[in-house]
Amino acid sequence: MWQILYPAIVDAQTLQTCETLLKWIKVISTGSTLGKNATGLPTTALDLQVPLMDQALINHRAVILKQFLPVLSQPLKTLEHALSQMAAAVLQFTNDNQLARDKKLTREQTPKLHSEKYTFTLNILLENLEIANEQKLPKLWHNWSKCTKRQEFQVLT
Amino acid sequence: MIAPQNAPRHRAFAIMFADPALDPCQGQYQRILECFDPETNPAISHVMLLEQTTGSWLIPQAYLCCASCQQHTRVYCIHCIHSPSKFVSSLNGDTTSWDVKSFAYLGDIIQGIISTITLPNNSFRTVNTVRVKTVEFMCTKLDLLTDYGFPANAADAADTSIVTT
Repeated sequence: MWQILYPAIVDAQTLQTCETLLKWIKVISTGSTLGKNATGLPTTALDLQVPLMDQALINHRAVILKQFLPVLSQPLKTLEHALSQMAAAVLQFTNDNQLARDKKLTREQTPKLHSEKYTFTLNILLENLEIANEQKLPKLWHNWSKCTKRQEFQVLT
Repeated sequence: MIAPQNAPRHRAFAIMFADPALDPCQGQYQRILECFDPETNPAISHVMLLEQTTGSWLIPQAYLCCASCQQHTRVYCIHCIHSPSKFVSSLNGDTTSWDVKSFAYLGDIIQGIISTITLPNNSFRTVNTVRVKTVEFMCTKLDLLTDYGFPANAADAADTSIVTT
């Protein structure tokens, strides 16, 4: 107390306000019994006992605890909220991935036309080959349209 | 007085007591502290002080008290007790062993548990004419402080004064 409390009182300039507290601290720090002229109790020490709590006493103190710290009597909403948010995010992420995979699979399984892959060069190709529409293109061009970039060289060779 | 619905959602008493928004005195404690000084307010009895503190359980209250340590009965420790209240029996006529007894919390909540202690009826008592060391002595001679307090004072010691608290 003399190392922490008293300097804090001095710093806060509340020596006069805390005069009563300081008097008490002086007495409990003294450690000697009362003087010959003492008329008070022989010691300032209290006898603090921990009662064996029953439900009635627990209920009585719980009212005070709830009054000052109401959040303690409530479920941990913040934690639950965070967990549910995380679960929803994981579920959403999983669903998005699944949808993306499905779309990609569908796209891959759909037969591609040459016009979809070579939009600008198709007309030149048709003109050079003297063909009216792309359905009449040789099989090589249809295979080339369906393959990936890695497979293009294999198709050509 | 605290309005529970407006109270911040604190999870520990230390944080709650440090919250200036919950301070009913707004830092002005002189009048309250004077109530506990028998020299300033001799008319306020110990019983009345206990009634006032336990009856005002809606107001945040914390007290320093001196009590013997559990490990050593002759060694005294300073404890912080708070939130005093008096047990009131119910109207259905059932009596309990706690009726008219006062209780308080000792320390703070640790892992969801807090200690309840019985507040003795003589918690507020007057100790008259104690010869104590001066503040200057206590601050400069802290190395003399033992578990049993400062050394006993001689009746005519110059660095002492008489205190009633």
